[in-house]
Amino acid sequence: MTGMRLLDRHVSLFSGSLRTLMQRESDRRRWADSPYAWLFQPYMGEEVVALACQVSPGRLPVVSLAAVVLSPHRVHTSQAWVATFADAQRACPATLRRHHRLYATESVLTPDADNLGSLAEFIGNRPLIGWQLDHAVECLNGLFKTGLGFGVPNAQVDVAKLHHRQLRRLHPHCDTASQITEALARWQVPGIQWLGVLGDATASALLYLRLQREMAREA
Amino acid sequence: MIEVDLSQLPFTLIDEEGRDHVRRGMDIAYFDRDEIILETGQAGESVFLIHKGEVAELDPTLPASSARIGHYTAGDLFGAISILNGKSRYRFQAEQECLCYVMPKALFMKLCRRHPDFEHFFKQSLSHKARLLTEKRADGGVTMAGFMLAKVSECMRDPLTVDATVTIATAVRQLNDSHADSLLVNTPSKVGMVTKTDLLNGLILHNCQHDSPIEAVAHFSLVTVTPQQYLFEALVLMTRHKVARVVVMEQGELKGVVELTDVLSFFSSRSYVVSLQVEQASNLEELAAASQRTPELVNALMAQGVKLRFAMDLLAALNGRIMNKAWSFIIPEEYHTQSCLMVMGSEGRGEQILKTDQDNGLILADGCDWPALSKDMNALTQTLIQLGYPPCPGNIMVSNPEWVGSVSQWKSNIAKWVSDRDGDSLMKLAILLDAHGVAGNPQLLDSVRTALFERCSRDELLLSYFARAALRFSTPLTLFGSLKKPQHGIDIKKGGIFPIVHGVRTMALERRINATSTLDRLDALAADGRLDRRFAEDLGEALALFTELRLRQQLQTLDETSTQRSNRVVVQELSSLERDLLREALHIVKDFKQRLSHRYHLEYS
Repeated sequence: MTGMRLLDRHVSLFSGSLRTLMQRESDRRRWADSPYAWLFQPYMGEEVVALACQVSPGRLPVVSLAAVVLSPHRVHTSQAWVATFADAQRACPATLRRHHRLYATESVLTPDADNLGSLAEFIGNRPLIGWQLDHAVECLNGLFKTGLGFGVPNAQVDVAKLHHRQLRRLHPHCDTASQITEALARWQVPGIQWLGVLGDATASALLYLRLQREMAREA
Repeated sequence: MIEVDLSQLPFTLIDEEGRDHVRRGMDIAYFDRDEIILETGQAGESVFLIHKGEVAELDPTLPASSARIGHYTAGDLFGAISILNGKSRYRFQAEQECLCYVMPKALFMKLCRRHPDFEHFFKQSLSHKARLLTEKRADGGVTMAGFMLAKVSECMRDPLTVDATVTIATAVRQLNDSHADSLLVNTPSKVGMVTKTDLLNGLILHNCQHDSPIEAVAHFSLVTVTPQQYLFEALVLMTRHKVARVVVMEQGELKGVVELTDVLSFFSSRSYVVSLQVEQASNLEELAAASQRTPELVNALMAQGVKLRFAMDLLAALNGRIMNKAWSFIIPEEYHTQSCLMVMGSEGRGEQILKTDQDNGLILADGCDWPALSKDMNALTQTLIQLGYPPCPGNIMVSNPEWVGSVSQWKSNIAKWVSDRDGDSLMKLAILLDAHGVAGNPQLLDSVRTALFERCSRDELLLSYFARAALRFSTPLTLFGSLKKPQHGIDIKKGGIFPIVHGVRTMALERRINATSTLDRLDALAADGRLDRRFAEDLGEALALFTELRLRQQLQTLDETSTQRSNRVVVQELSSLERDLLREALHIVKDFKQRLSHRYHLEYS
């Protein structure tokens, strides 16, 4: 493989540390012959996936998760992926109920290879975005590593960091809050009424679209 | 699932389950300012419900000032009619940043099938909208003539009432006494009407006697209006119900009668008749008949002292509609989205009053396969000649393959013209710069125009060459600033109109202004800060004066046999006030020329 092709493949990952870079490459080689191999290929399209999650930690963690695809113009909320990952038999029923109510998830899935595989297929190799994405990716990584054996390989954009960077460009001495509602208000993204994790994902998606235009305008 | 407010009208027509489907099936879309959401001729793929922002519905074939035909804000729905029709008739463009909920076509069709009421709502609003639009187009002409504000109350006759028990003989006598041709019949419960025709029919066909009560021949299903309604609406009602008079009622009380003849004499400008005719024409003959009436319309408008700018707008809109109709009769449907018919020159600027030569061209989408292209284009040119648009002496017509090309061909033409920079190329650039799309897919023209701006607006050398033409003809003023008075008159087009039009065109090219009419360009330049507002207004007024003088001259010679239109104004024949105005206006032109030569460095050319 020529150097240029290697560079091309990793150019979206250069923001990560060298260690994750190595990790990715070894994952890519290790999974080259599995059905998941395509997840490790670089993505060439225009879509991204907005991710949001809520976790109740504990011995048996309950994770509610929403992933929604967005193309340059549109947030495909109608085809969103929303579910709670938990062991339905053994997890605390009150916690499950709370997740169902608060985060508006409708199904409870056991975090086994099948269910996680379908989520991985849904996300594909598209880049991930989200408000404070590290947190979401961290718990997704936990699930993936136990269920599938590899961490999330996708390129990642943290909308919160994007927001802070953009804000600092405009007001160098501005204190930046870390609430998404404040960020939405700051960029005048019209408030939509949202519920649960899907709402969080949608809001971060809208904010991302808004920031993208802002950056395009400056360029 | 997203929370959408579905308590508004079309959604109240579906049940809770359906609403749940809607909530689950909605996507969210985000549009930037001025972004086109749905293009003319594009197939409707989704219904949009605006959450925040504003969207304008535009008819790109009309001049900019009247193109906006609809406006949608938060909570409004659009795109449904495009789905029902198969494609969008107009362009939807975000006026502000817009957040819309988007319902895919499949879901919308499913809802329509399940809930007939829901479907009916859109079908109804389609016909409602079509009617509103025709009325708006029609009364557009009336607006220009200052008749828009005419209410029914200004044109109604006092009612002639008789009692229901009166005999036919008495009624006839009363009709004759009051020189009317209808009577209102009062019964305790309702009001009826008797016309002369009713009386005749009653006596001859239904064997009524002279002494039978009038009630027997009266009819009681009346078409009514209120005194506050516009006169135009009364006319629409008459046309729709095929009656010659409507009754004016206010809160159940009889106020008067409006007769068809009264309304027609009120609307003697006939502008609305012509636009209605154009809208209703279903074949070329009808269209030609409507088209032939535009000169008489101009005469009527001028006689009423209508402001020239409005008359020009009206005429541009009418001509645009006529060409659009002709296009849709001739060009097969499948090419409509792949091509764009543009008019250029004065017609593109919307500044011709009398029918001028057809200056038109065609832009094809790249990769469009159209075997019968040249045949269709020849047919189009011939049809336009039939419709009263004489062929262009310079052969700038769609029948000439040089003015037909794909987007990339046009772009390479532009590149060639820009690099050649000779008189002919500069003229072609100027012609193309005034292009205005009248039929087909206007986006093609937009992309060509963008390429034109991209190439020219920063090329100082080209701008300088381009602007030079504005100084080609001298201003007909003497050394001491008074009017020159040659025997054969001064050429108002060369001396006044052309420098303004061309100078403004150059500035519009430099500032990338999309508007094509000189007056709109002046507005845009003033808003842009390139010209100060006062000077821009002065220039506009000067242009209006020149055009008006020229038009008056041309209308006089219209009846004469001469085919050559004269641009000459004989100063000696003007009143002293007009002479003064003309002198002032020419001084403004002189000033403008000086500014142009300063800006574009024309001092030594």
